[in-house]
This record gives sequence, C-alpha cells and structure tokens, in this order.
Amino acid sequence: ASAQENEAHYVGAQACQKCHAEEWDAFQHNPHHMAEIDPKLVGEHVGCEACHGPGSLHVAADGQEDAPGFATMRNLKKMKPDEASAVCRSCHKAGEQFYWDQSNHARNDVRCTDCHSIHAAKSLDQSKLLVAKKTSDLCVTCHLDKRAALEHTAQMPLREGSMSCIDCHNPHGSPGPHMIRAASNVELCVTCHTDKRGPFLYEHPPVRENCVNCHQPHGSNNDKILAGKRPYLCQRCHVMSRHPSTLYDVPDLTASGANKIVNRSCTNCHSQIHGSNHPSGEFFER
Amino acid sequence: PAPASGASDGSVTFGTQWWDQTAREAKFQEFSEEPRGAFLEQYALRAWRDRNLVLFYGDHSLRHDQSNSLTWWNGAKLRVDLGYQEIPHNLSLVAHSPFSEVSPGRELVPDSLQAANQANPAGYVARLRDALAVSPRIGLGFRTDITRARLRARPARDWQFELKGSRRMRSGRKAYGGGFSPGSGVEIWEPISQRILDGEARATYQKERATLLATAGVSEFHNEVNSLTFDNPARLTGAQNQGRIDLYPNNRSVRGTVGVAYRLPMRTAFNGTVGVSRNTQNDPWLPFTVNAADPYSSLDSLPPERSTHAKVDVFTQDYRLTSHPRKDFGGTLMFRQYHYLNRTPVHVFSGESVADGAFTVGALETEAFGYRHQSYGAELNYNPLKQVSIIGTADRLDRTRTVREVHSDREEAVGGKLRLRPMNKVSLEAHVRRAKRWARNADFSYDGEEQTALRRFDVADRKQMQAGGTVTIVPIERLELGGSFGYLFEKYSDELADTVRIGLRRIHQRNASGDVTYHANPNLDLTAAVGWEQMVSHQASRQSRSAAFGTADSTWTARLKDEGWFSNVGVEWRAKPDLLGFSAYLDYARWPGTYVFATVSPSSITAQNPPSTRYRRIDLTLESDYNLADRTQLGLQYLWEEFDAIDFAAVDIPQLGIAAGASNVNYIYLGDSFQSYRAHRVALLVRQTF
Repeated sequence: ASAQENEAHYVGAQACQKCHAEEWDAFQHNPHHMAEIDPKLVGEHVGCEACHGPGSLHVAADGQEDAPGFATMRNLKKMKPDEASAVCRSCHKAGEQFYWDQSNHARNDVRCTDCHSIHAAKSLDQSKLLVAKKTSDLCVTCHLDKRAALEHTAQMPLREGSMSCIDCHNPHGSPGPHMIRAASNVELCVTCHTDKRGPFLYEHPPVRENCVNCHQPHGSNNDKILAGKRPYLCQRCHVMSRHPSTLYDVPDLTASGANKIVNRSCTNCHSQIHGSNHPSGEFFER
Repeated sequence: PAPASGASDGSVTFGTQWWDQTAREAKFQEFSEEPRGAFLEQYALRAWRDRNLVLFYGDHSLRHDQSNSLTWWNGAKLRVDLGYQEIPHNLSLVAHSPFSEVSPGRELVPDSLQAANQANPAGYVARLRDALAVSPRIGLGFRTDITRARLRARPARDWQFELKGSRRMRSGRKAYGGGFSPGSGVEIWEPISQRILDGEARATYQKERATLLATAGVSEFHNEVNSLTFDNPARLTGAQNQGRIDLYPNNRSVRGTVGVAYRLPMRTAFNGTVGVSRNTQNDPWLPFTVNAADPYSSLDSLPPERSTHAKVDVFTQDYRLTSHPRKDFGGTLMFRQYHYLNRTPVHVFSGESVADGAFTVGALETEAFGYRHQSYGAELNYNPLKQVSIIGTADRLDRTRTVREVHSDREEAVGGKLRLRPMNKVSLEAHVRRAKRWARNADFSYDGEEQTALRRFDVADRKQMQAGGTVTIVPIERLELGGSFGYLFEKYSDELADTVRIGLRRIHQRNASGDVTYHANPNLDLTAAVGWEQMVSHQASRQSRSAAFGTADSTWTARLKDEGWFSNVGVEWRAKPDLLGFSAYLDYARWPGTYVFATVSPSSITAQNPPSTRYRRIDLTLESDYNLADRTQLGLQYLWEEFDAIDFAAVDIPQLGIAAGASNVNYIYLGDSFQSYRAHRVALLVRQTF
C-alpha cells in the first residue's frame, strides 16, 4: 500500500453511495454482497473498501480529482496484475482458486478483473460475474487460435452453449497440464466419456496414454474430432502385414476394400478401438 | 451497508418460431432442439431477503437442450447450487437398416433371409435391396441428462467445505461396426443406456501463510446394455452366423488428493499436490464366440477366473515454487508426475475366435499396459523495463512404459517469450519453443507382427518447433485491432523417401487470425474477424498385400492437408436508443482437405489420389428488438444456414457395399451420410422483465 493509502482509514460503504450510486446499487444485488452479511467469515473490512482500500482521504477529496487524497483508492484495473489479483485472493484462496498463484494465467500477467467484473457483469448467469455473456466468448478474446478451431465441422457443443471451455479447463489453475481439470488428458476425457475408462482386458496403448494422440479436442475436419482422416490416421502406426498397410485410394472406393476407406473406415470393424474386455477382443473387433 | 430488504427481479423470454430445411440432415440440430411453435427461450429470477440471495436461471427450458440452475446463498456461510441440463447429440435422421432391435443389444434379421442367402448366395444382393426398401428409418443420436448438486459451506473463517455430486444418464443409439471375416461386416447401432455417478468432497483450511486442501471422490460407470449381438445376414448356421461385441464394461474410480499452498518470504509461494486413485473393472467375460454350435461358445472354455479383475492405481504429484524476489525478476520451478500403475493380472487364453470365426488355438497372453510421465520445468521472468517482459523456459519430460516398443523416452525443450507494450495502445507477444525427443530404450522388432522400419509417432524420435504471437492495437479509443499467428512443426524422419523409417514423418500446422472492432458511436458497433489454419502431414507406409512383410519398393507416401477458413462480420445498431435496435451476424467457415499419394515404385502399387473433401457452413442471423413498453420487448429473428459436405468417406455412402462386378455384399451400412442442406428459421420473441 502507498504511504497515502496507509494514512487513510476505513469509513464504511455508505460513504461511497453518494457518488457511486450505480455501482453501489449493483453491488447490493450480486453475490459479493453476501460477504458483507458475514464479516466474521470474510474479513474485518467488507463492502467497497474490502477491495478498494480505506476511503477516508478519497471521501474527503469530495470529488475533486486534483485533491491529494482523491487517488488513494485502489483501482484494480490500473494495478500490476499480481497485485490486483492479490486483492481478490485475500478472500478467494480455496476451492477453484487454490492453484491460482502458479497457474499459467497468473504467470502470464492475467488478472482476475480481465475476466470478471464485480460491478458490471455481462454474463447472463450472474453467479460467475463475467465480462462477457458466454464463457467461451471470453476465452477466445485472448486464445485467438481456438476461435478458428471451434468453427470446425466436428466439434464439441461449445457454439450451442451446452459446454464451455471451463468444463475442461480451470482458468484459475490446476495441478494438471494446460490447466485442465484433471491430472492427465485421459483422466479429463473419461470424466464424461466414462465408458472408455476401463481398465480393459486388451488395452490400446496410445489410447490409454493420451487421447490427443488421435483426437483434437478443440475441433477438427474429421469425424469424431479425429486428428486425421481414417484410415490414414490409423496407418500412421499400423503397417502390419495384410490390410493395415494397404494404400487405400481411388480404386478402393468401389472395390472390395471400400469398407476400409469409407464411412468409419478401420473402425467399421475395429469398433472397440478404445479397448476391449472380450476374450476374443485382441484386435478390438469384439 | 445494511442488508438489502426483500425484493426480486428477473426476466422471461418466450416466443414462437417456424423453421424448415431442404434435407433431413441432423447437423442443423446436432447439439440442440429447434422447436416449431411456441417455446420458452430463457428466464432469470433473482430474489433476495435478509441473508439470502437466490438466482434461478434457465435456457431453452422444457426442450431437450435445456439448462437450468438454481443458486442460493445464505450470507457467506452457505451456497447451494442445483442444476439440470440436457445435451442432445443428433447424428442422423436418414439411416436405414434391415436389422430389427428385438431387445436392447440384440439386432437381428429374419431367419428366412439368412437361410435364403446361405442356400443361394447369388440372390444375396437382391434380397437385401428388397429388405432395405421396406425398412424404417432409424434415428441415430443420444442425449445426456445431467443432474448436479453442490453445497459449499464456510462455517468459520479458516474453513471451507464443498460437497458435490452429479448424475449423467445417457440414452440413445449410435452407429457401430460389427466385423465378420476380414473384409466384411455389418453396421448396426449401439444401444446406449448408461449411468455415470460422480461425487466429491473437498475441504480447505487456511491459516496465515498456509492453505491446505483435501479432496476425496468416487465415480461409477454403469452400462445397462452389456453386449451387442447381431446377425450375419449371409448365413443362418455355422461360424459367423452371428457376432457379439462386449460393450463398454461397468467401472469405478475412487480418488483422493492432498494439497498445500504456502507463502514464503520474498514474494515466494509453494504449491504441492499429491493424489492417488484406483480404477477397477470386473465385468464378467463373454464366451469366445456367440456361435452356439461352437464348443468355445461355452463359458466353460474360459479360464476359471471368468473376469478381468482389472485394477489400476494412479499416483500423481505436482509441485511448483514461484518466486519474485525483485519486482523485475522472478521464476518458477515445476515438477509433475503421473504414474499409471496397471495391477491387472495377466490372463492366458487358449486361443480366440476373431470376429466370431473359427477358434484359433494358441496361447494368448494379455498385457497390463502401464506408464509413468515425469516432467521438470523452470521458468525465468525478467522485466528490464515496465513495458518489456522476457520469459525463458526449459523443461524435460521422461516417459516410461511397461509394454511397448519404446520402453522409455525423454523430451527436452527450451523456449522463450517476449511481451512488449511500447505504448499504451499497442501490445505484442511472441513465443517460441524448441523440443527434441528421443527413445532411450527401444525395441522395434515388434515380435514379428509389424514392419521393423515403423516408428510409431507417439513414441518415436521427434524434433518439434512451436512459435506464435499476438498483437493488439488501439489506434483510437473507438477502434481495436488484433492479430495472431501460430506455427507448429514436428519432424519424425529426415527424408520423404526415407526407406528406413516409415510411419508419420512430418506435421506442419499454421494458423493466423485478425479481428477488428469499431465502436462508431454509442449506438453502433461493428466487428469483423478472419482466420485461417492449415495442417499438413506426411506419412509413409509399406504395402504388403501378398507378402508377409513388404519390401522397400512397396513403400507409399501420403501428404494430407486439412485447411480451414473462417470469417465473421457483425453489426449492432441502436437505431432509436431505448426503442429500436438491429443486429446482423454473418459467419462463414470452409474446411477443405486434400490427399496426395505417391509410391516409391509406381509399378508395384497404384496411387490415385482420392477426391478432395470440403465442408462449408454459412450462417446469417438478423435480429431486431423493439421496446413495446417499459418492461416489454419484442424481438424478431431470422436465421439462414447453409451446410455443404463433399467427402468421399461420409457422403453418399451406398447402403450395400458391393465390390465392382461382384454379386456379394461385403458390408451393409446404415446410410447415415452427410447431406448438404439449407435451413431457414424465423422467430418472434417477447421479453418481459419484472
């Protein structure tokens, strides 16, 4: 805190209402107001000054911007990112925010107020207080490459709003890679695709080790958001004798090998490609 | 301030709409339900009294793509969240099949058809055509219904507890492949009736510099349909008269983690998490074959254990130390381990019936695949000036496996990032990362099953180069410009015609995008964006149609290119502030793919490139809103959507796969091909606030 700020003392949120009526009113109806009701659980100072610091000098300036005490209030948007986020972290240390300090976002100077707005949230669902209507719209303002990915013909239901980026990623940090909500890609995917969790009698090792060996979770041109078109995707690894190594090209579109190249290609027969629990399932056909 | 007195506010949006499309393609409603007639679009209710605040919010309620949530706060002490959501995934509306589902997991054709085909194969094609001609449509798709509950309690300043649980019910059907002898099979559908339960408890304790976290959870998967039995239309008796697939088995996972976050002196913080989980699965085995005439169709032919007794323990560790001893200098050290320890016993079978064919005698031993990933990383930040940040990174990933051709490998990487803010209105960010992976303990002999020149890309030696950047410029207050680019290059093999290494050789990924936002005046906003991305991969394989192992001159190569363009333009105009507004959005996305083949020795293999593929989607949305009264708003929407698909593998697939000149059917498809369509939708909406 600045020296001036140290000289200031707390005056209570009522003093803010006169000049900042709109923000004051909005605050009364948002979840942060709940903290004011239980000050013993949250902190000694609640209300506006909990985030903006003691307001006596600012109030004494009486709206005169050139008065010495006017600028003593904390403006989170003008503070350094880590210092601004530290204000929020004084309450939000647990749960979702436990890993914030070491998260990719914190290490790259993202601050809480880049995504959240306490006074003017735009998210229709008011519980998250976001600066955008939809979570995914917010994420792609920085992650521009993902905007194109989400436009692919094969994608998860993000455009429709049934899923959002935060279903898989915790923007506040996680102990997993890429801030995902699990310790590994596979563990994350099987939280919804639980049928693929196994363990199986016959495992397909690249599947078990990393789903993104074959899938592109942010979207793809290929069915099942696959990273390549079958059978060529499978043929990156399988050149075993007989059919896995055959060049499937134009003649195969009409010949006896058509079922190796059209529709679901290899998985027309090897449908249990994620693993099989059948005693005759060595080749993932059963 | 004193707690707010009791009051409430909210809004409800409802309306009616008409829509039509030129073809029955499910993609128009792939993840949604478009009603015809009246519908409830959205509601939001907020009520507060004394210590309580309640938010009740819903989208598309009473439809099968609905999402509803109820959140209740009681001061800072208690928060309760309840939610219910339905997510449809419509796959096809045009599939046909000669099969009938006589019970969940049993899909059969009439015995008379099988008998006739077995007795007189020459009439097989005609009989199936007749059967298909009278077969009803089969809707393919499934829906996931999710019920969620969460309770968060803060009984004292230092403690926070959370209990949450969810139930996912998934039901429907999706296309599934059932193979018979090599080269033939049928496409049937997987009856989906699954239940997923998940529960977790979490406790956090904070005291001065330390925060402790403990979690415990359980997840259960239950599949109501254990197996999928399907007829072979070609034969009524003998081997492969039927097939049977073991559908995904029930499984359970129990997990727990303990974490600590500690603030040390000199702006230093430590965070450590240790986790353990156990995944188990013990569904009873099916017999080797469904063919009742085969002695291996008896459970007695199986080993005495009769189930997998699968058990995997997963140990995870993650430690990070971040320090900023000076305002201009800081860094992070990281260590992460993920150990998938497969304790499933090895089972030995006396043989197998591949695709329900004749039993092949020969000891067959299962392998319990396990692995460990261990990564170390360091990151240094230096800010020589307020406007400049320089970040350097170094990391290493060690991977070991119990069963694979590469038992261990290592990847080392270095990278850097530069952030510049030369002036308030401009910010630039650029990053680069270079990595090299090499196998440290490899055996490419593949037990004689694969060609020894093969290098499987996920474990092969690899050089990787990544780069990217973004720029944001705000030349004037009302104008924002942004741009980005990304680049990824992965090289597995040095030369395209390398006959010593086959498999994936190179991948190039590039993307670029730009966007502009112009706030012309308080009542007019214009936005536009354009993006492009491309992925090019090179791979090689070695054909061995007749020989057990191909020779170098049967090597073929492929260059596959997936590309994408997207652009969108938006206008939001308040023609009469507080009275009348218009908006228009146009989205365009085009995704072409090309496949180019070559052979080392053209005389030995044909190499004719398949036709290029292309997907294209155009959406135009026009909206207008009019404030009819103080709290009543009328809205009019028009949507036009065009979807075109050109794909040799997914469009116009014949339902009967008949080899040229042959009288036999080698595959029966469901016919769930993509169809190009145009759709129009007109909606009238009323929004009432209160």
